[in-house]
Amino acid sequence: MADPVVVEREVEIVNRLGLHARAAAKLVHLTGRFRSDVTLEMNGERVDAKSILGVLLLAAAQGSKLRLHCEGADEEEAMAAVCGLIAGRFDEGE
Amino acid sequence: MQVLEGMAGAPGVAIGRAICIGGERDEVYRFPLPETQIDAEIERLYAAKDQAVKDLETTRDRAATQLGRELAAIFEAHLLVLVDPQFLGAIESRIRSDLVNAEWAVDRTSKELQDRFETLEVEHLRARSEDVRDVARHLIRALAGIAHHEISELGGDAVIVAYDLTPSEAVRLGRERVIAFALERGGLTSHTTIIARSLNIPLVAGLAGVSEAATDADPVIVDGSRGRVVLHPTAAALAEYEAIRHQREQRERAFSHIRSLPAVTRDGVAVDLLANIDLPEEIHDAVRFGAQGVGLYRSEFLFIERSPELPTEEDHLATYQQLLDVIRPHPVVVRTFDLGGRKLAREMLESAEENPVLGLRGIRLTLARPDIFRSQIRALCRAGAYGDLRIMLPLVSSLEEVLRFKEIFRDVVAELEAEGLEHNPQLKIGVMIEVPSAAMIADTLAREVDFFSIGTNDLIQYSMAVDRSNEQVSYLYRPVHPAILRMIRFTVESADAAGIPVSLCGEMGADPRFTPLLAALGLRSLSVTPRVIPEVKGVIRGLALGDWEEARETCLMLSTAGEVESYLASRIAETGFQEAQEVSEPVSG
Repeated sequence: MADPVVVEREVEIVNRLGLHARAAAKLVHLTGRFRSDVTLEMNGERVDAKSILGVLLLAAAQGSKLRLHCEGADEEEAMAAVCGLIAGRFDEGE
Repeated sequence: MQVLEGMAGAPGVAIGRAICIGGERDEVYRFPLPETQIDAEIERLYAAKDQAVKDLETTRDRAATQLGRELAAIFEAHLLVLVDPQFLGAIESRIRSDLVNAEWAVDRTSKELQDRFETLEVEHLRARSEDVRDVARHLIRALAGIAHHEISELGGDAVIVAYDLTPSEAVRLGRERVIAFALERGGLTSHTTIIARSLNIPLVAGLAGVSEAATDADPVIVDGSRGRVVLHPTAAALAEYEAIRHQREQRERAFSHIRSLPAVTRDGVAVDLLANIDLPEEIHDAVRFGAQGVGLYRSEFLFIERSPELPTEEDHLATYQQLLDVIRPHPVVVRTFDLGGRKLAREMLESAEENPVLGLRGIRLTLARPDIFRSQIRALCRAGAYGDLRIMLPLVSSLEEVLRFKEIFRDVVAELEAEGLEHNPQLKIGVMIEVPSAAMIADTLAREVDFFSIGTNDLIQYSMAVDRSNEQVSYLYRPVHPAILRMIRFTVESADAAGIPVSLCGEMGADPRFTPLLAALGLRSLSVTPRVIPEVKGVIRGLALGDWEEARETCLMLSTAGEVESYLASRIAETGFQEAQEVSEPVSG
């Protein structure tokens, strides 16, 4: 196994409703498919992106900037997938 | 006989026998555990979780087929909370650190989480605390091994009397032989209530003391339309409700088969049927009864619900988006605030008007206090970028009001532009035709607006100068008075000439006696209470519009409302509803 390297990136929530219930559910479903640990950090608070409650309690509105960390065997793939979901506005079609 | 008053959660009448479950709140006790039992307790927690997951998955799959994806999503959300590593982790560590039983740890952990959700500023996130509470209840019941109330041995008339029910219990019980719910807690907007509405099972919520007052096998009447529960009814009360129930059942049966068929006359003319709704949750009724959109969303409730606070722009926006999400790709017509200022408690706009019906309300109030209504207009403009949303202005009586509103709208567009917020600058703006002066200048108004909706309730009231709730003069309230028919005809002609759509959203549109005439007058869209859509559709499907052209001309020449009424009755007796059913049944088979 290669060294566990942390991949980090800043992402902005661009969909209108922010991380509301349905968007959060999509995010949690997605992160659950990866073995890596995925966390989100906003205003100094860091939550597990595989936890629906954690993600919802961030209450990230449109325009919020989040720090995304992925760490583990498939961290690059996880990072790409999560960034894609957020940038694609959670497929909300706006 | 004992009558309890509550809130009308889901309409309908049911007569049956009480089954009392969870008589009081699920009490959770704290049991200190010796350290040696902690591992076993945590195993118990996870076993209960597995059981609850299994139950919820079954409920979700059932809900998906029986209630549709929208409501199944409630259980999907519950499942996500149930398997949330943070949630379970927190419960587990509480068991370890406090050396307590799992029930207590679940209860405490969920209450802390609920508190955190309730401090959030965004309303739809705040509401998620309800999910946490429901999931905790599941877990606690699974821990106690009472996750299922076995009611399979019930007869066919079980009325569930409970302190409260989780949404999944409502689904499960609703599919058994349960005919009504009577709940001590709950409200009009809780998931449980929405599910009862979708299952078409009467529900009364907020019945103080019902779980104390009722005992198993008590005869009980649940009137979900009026929010009333009758325990130990007298023979007279039973007979009265039996008649109501029977009538309703007959009607439902006759029309249920056409819910998914198009609203098209026998000669191929489509008359769209849309829904009038007050509460955002009624959008599910609209879908269930086959509405082709919301023709009238009365936004007053948003204000009343928040009173004495005013709803924020985000409150408005979230509500409109929720409606659009559910009914997409169909349109949602939002009527701006249509009450007097007195209903806005905090602002106390009123200067004690002597005659509020003729006073400062509707568009007049919106224009008088743009400071208050700007947030609604901004939210409408923003929601317009999200789906097919349209604005409708109530109580318009002159062209200036429309022009003035459009100025404010342009300001709002410029403002949103500057702020870089997504919006729809081309949002369709229409007016209610409900004041006689507006009907008489429909040709002028038609050049400035994108659509009309004829509000017959007020149009009749203002034209006849009659308060229909005043028994001494209510006989004057006649929808087919020649004056009303002429105004409807002129409004439709003006709309047609200007090439804008026109709809009708008063109660008149839901009255099968008048539907053929309205269609013959050129109306191609009616907006009615969701529940009556199938019935109106049955009339439309049985109609040969060509046969009604002559009848329309006759109606327009008759001199009194009475003459028109008897003429319509005789026409309908000739061509009638008999035919409507003959025509639609083979198609549905």
